[in-house]
Amino acid sequence: MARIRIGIVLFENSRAELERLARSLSASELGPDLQLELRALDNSPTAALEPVVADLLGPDTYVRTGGNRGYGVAHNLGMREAFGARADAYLCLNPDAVLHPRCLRQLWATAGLPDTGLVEARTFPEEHPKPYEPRTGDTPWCTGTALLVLPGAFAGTGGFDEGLFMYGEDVDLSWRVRAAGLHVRTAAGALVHHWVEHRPLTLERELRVLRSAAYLGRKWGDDAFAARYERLYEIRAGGPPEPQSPLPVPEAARGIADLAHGVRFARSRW
Amino acid sequence: MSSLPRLHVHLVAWSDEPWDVEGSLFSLVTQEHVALTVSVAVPTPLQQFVSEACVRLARLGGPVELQASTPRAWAPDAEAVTVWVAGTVAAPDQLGRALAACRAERALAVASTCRVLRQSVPGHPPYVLGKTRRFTSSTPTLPELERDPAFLGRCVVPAARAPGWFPGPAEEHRRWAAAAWPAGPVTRIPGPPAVDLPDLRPERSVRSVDDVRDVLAELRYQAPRWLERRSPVGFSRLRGLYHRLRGDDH
Repeated sequence: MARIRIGIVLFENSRAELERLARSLSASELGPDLQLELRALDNSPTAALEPVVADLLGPDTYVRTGGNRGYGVAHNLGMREAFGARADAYLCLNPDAVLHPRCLRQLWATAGLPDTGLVEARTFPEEHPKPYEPRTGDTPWCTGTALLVLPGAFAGTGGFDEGLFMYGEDVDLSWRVRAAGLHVRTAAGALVHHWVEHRPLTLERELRVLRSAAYLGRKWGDDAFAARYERLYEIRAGGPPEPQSPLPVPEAARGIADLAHGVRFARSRW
Repeated sequence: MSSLPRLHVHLVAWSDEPWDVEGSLFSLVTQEHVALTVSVAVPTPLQQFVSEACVRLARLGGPVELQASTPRAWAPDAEAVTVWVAGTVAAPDQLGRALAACRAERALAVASTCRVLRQSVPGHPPYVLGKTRRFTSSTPTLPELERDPAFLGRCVVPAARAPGWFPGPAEEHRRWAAAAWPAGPVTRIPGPPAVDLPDLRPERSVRSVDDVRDVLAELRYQAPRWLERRSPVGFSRLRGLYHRLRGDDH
């Protein structure tokens, strides 16, 4: 029996959103060999979601993280706990996602391919345009919407880079997992409904993307890339971003990063 | 009983590809602000699969009635109907918005769309090779639309205008549309493409003015994105200039 710990990072979510997610978790076809454990990691300033989570996801699933330090920090907390308790995998799951009933099974099946570190579900109805190999699922990087992390990937990397508050942390983790010699894969049959196209690109969100892009450029050894996005940040924000000094990755690993395709970080199929 | 307006979707599979049916059904059960009756007609080898898929996806909840067969008539309480070919996928607000457009203008509503070119992969879902935007005129004509065999998936037809029978093969889709089209106005639903149609055209070369318009629509979408990747600062400046010239608050 394999145990998958599912970590859901919350921040002032609506009950309706969590109901949809909880329904899809209940509808999941696991089969006899999979067991789920849930953790709701709440970054909200109050514990208002605690009774909602207890009602929808069950007792003893709620954890307050103690402040909004971002997606990666909360999941690292969840992964440390999960792998410390010998979970077979940890699923980073967005609270605004809806899993197809076969999503978890398909993720787990792909996780069984040799030397797998990360497995992403395929976002639906808008699939990410980065390519993947149709049979093995090998892909340049995995998105964080529904991302299965295997113990070897966590052990080899320590999880997400906590210097990234939001956006780009999935890209960075994928590159580091690949640098550690593991594969990152798309489970094409694992569908996760995640609709964000209608969300306006607010200045705050745009600035976070730009800041993360610059951070990745510095970290992965492309200062020109970083400078472009720092300059853009300055234009959009009316002032430079706070200085960021990520620990650069070793020279030998830098070839893995794809900074030639802007903030898509891979060739696009469309 | 749901108080949401009801739409009847008839889903037809033209191939034995189970992933296409599964994807379309998943798209339908995640539609918002609309109640759906979904009937499904598939080739015999897929029948068992579809029955199971309907049970599986019904567990996600939502105001959707799924039936794995072709009924005798459109749902009597449906305000509008549409016919999808398996592989069609829509944005979650598409059918709700289409129904609103039907009601407001008492018209057949046509969504903007993308064509999705896929490659079959045995034992795996089809792999998407590319996705291109199509041109849609403000009053779409049937010849403009029916170059795509699966074109009915972008049309929502007021129930009163819908022929009473269920189209099966591609030729019947064209006949069904030809009967619905002349009976009243046709309107384009505003907004970006909301429906992905499987590209089932037997011939993909550029042969008509409509084909050229499609190419230009795709270029108009891709060119700014190419510039954004090549020169994010230059793109941002051009975007700012564009919005200033338009008098937008940006």
